[in-house]
Amino acid sequence: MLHGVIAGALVASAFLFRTHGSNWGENASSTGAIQASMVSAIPLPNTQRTLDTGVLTSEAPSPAPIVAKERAEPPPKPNEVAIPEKITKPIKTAEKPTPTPPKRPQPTPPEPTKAATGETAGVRIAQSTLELRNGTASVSVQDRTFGARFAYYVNIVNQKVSQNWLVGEADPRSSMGRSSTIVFDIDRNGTPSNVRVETASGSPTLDQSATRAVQRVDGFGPLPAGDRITVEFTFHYHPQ
Amino acid sequence: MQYAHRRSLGALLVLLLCTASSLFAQDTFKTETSSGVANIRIAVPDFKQLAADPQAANFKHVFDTTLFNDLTNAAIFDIVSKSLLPQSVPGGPSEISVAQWAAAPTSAAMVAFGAFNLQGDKLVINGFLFDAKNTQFPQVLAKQYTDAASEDAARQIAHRFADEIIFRLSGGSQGIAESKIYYVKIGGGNKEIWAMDYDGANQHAVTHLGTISLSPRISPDNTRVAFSSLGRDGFQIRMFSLVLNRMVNFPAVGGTNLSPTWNPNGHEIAFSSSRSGDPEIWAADANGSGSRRITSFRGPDVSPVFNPRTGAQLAWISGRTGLPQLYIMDADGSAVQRLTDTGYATSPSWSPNGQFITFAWDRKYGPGAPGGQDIYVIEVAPGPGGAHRWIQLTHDGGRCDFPSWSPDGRHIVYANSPDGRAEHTRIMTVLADGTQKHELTGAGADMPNWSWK
Amino acid sequence: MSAIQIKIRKALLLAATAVAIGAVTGCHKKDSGIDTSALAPAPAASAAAPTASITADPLAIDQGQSVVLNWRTQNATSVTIDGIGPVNNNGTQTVTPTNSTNFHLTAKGDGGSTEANVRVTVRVPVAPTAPSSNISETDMGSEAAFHQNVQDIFFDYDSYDVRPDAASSVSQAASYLTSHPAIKVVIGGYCDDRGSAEYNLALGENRANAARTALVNAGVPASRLRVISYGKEKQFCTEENESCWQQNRRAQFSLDR
Repeated sequence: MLHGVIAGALVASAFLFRTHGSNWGENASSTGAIQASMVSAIPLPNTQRTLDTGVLTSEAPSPAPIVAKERAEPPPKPNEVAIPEKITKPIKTAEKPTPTPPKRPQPTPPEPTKAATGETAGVRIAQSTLELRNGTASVSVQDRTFGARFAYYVNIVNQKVSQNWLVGEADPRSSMGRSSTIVFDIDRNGTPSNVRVETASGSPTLDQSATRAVQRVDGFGPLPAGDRITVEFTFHYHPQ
Repeated sequence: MQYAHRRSLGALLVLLLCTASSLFAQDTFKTETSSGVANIRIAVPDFKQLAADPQAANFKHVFDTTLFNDLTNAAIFDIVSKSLLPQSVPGGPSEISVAQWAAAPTSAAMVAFGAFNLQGDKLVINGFLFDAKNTQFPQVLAKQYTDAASEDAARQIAHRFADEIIFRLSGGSQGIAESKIYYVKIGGGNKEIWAMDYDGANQHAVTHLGTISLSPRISPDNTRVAFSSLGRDGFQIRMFSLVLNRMVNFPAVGGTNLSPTWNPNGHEIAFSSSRSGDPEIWAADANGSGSRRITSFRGPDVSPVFNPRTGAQLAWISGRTGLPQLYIMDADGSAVQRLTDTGYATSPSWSPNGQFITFAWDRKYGPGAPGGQDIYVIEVAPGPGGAHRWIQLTHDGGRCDFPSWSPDGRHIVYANSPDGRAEHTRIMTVLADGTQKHELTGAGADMPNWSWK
Repeated sequence: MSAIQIKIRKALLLAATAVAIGAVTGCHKKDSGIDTSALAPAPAASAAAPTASITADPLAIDQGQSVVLNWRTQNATSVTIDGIGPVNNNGTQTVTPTNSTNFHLTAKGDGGSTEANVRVTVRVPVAPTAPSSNISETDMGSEAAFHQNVQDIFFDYDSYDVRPDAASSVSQAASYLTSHPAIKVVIGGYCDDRGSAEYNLALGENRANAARTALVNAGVPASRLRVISYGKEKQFCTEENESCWQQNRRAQFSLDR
């Protein structure tokens, strides 16, 4: 019991010392006020679909110490929303020759099911479509041979972009019923680049959220073939 | 016999899947802002056995179980219950009709299948991953593995094949099936460094020093284990070479030296040293030369860990204001920031992507306070309003300590003692969102450290 | 095994031993420097882990007197006591230690091993302090005299500050060491088993260093003092209560040979 009191006093004195002392942390300019908030969720790998707003709970572990309050925290940039994906790793080399190596797709391009010439972007059929909670995401690869041969890869591209799409970023009123099309390249390591809006939706927030969804992806995994593909990502906004 | 076994396994899997789906139903991470992307649905039938050898059947069972568990543990798939699979067991591309697997009730997007053969004293395993929705070009992956016939080889091949599948279907994320966990084995009054596979299999001793060895940390290239060990002059940093399978020299210095950590570049370690009196964070080359002091502030400084993404920052534990708290700083000792301001915080581990730190925290620490020491994850960058967001992963399960991230950043391994007694400590894993806890070892295992790859 | 079960078993074992011996003296009396009996419940493994307890009656004697050790184990296949050797699984033995001794029992069984300790303090008649003119450069003094004069220092919870009540022990230790310049001392830093292993090693280091600083300030040359932290790795007392934790939060002095 006595020890409890003593130790309790110690804890209390440690707290007092901390709040009065200005000398903890050698670099005062870099010590911001400490705050920690318990949240029901923080964006963890592959589950980063939470928005910044609406996840903070009211419980805070303790008052922040009264030290070094001067430095204002810069407002978080939208791009700092977590994208906890692993960095892509280099292509693994196969230990053994594959028993039945995939055929090179070039010699036998699949017959287009529609009578398109293949060079115009007019009547492209989406190669991967995902129904999401607030809309429909579809992805096409401009190289149709690739798209047919490696449909699974196109699906993964669609899935990863959709996972990184934060539904709440687009303003529902202006985005309702609109579609935004983003075009980007994927290099042989799977890294996206050259992200641009191909067809603006008329809702700047929708275009921006779709662009950011692509930008948040570190990589899609190495291309199964070729050095580069160009991808079209279309998001049609129709909240249910 | 085999059929009955598979039936019971199937029933078990249905049960497991039901449990999993009920967990997901209350998954706090899927908020109303979720875009609602479903996981890839994958069918994993048992491999086709080509050799009618009872030994082969045993190895194949190990292989099938390991592959299935690896893909389940990856937590990125929706795995089809084995009771919903077609009756045929395909062994190669010519024996599978993907349309059958894409159709209900299987409804698989992907099928991982293959053939298992025992040729003389060698295992020959052909593994395939097929896109069930692509009737024209279904093949995603085809691999052949050959190894000396043993249960361990069957398990390791399953790990490698699982990692290949995960790498393809996660969009380039590294699988963890081939990773290892190093830990402290408690027994006979001593503590030795041990190692095991990521799933708890293959537990074996690394050191036989006959003293107390603590805090194993595996190097980024899996060649060395740094740890600290009690000798005549107290605890010193020691180094074990997994390549040479023996201790290698690491110079002893004065004071207590403990809790080493590797810079991701593999050339530098940081640790706590009291050679100058007060325990401070020091860094040295991996061979022990060129040591330099990073912190200098009265109070214990221990348990440093590098930001594995950049190598430019350290998180560590300091008692400079009283009870130990979690801090981060640049690797040269500047830009010190405290992340916790209450309770008793210990044992940080930095996530592979650099965004999170997991640590053990007793938020209500103190005499008379019924606080439990649990595993937490805190976001390194301050969230909106400047607060660091954190979540609690374990609740009311006894004393938890020494969390360590898996290389894919999806899992955390940690030590848990249900009744708080040191000798009852065992090693558990949990997904980084706090779900799917399970035990990897029995009592007598502590301080786990997950390998970098 | 639930915590309650452990407590009940502990209580039963302790009660049984107390009845058997007839009396227990000095238990948990921390200011006497007497250690308590220890009991380590075993893990609930498939093979039942051994349990062990050892008591001594009385816990403190004058030099030349005897003490009765009494131990009980379960699920053990081999039991040894340091300094005595292999013994029966349960038994009593009369010993006559010449100086304060820590009787350390190890019970090994199919389910693992467990340990128990009891410390017997031997009161050495305080020898008339040798006049300073008689200081011998090689006189190490007796082990008993050393422990009589250089007593462990205890610390508060999560603290490494030498408490005011330790001041008299420090000055007594310093004068003894000053009068025996041949003695070199190892100062061990210890912590109770709460908190985390790595942090406790640093805390133990600071406790041992604080004791060292106190002796240096009292005139003992630093070159004669060596510091080792054991953190929570060498528990002196393994019960989960404040008196036991206090026994573990200490800087312990021993002769550095």
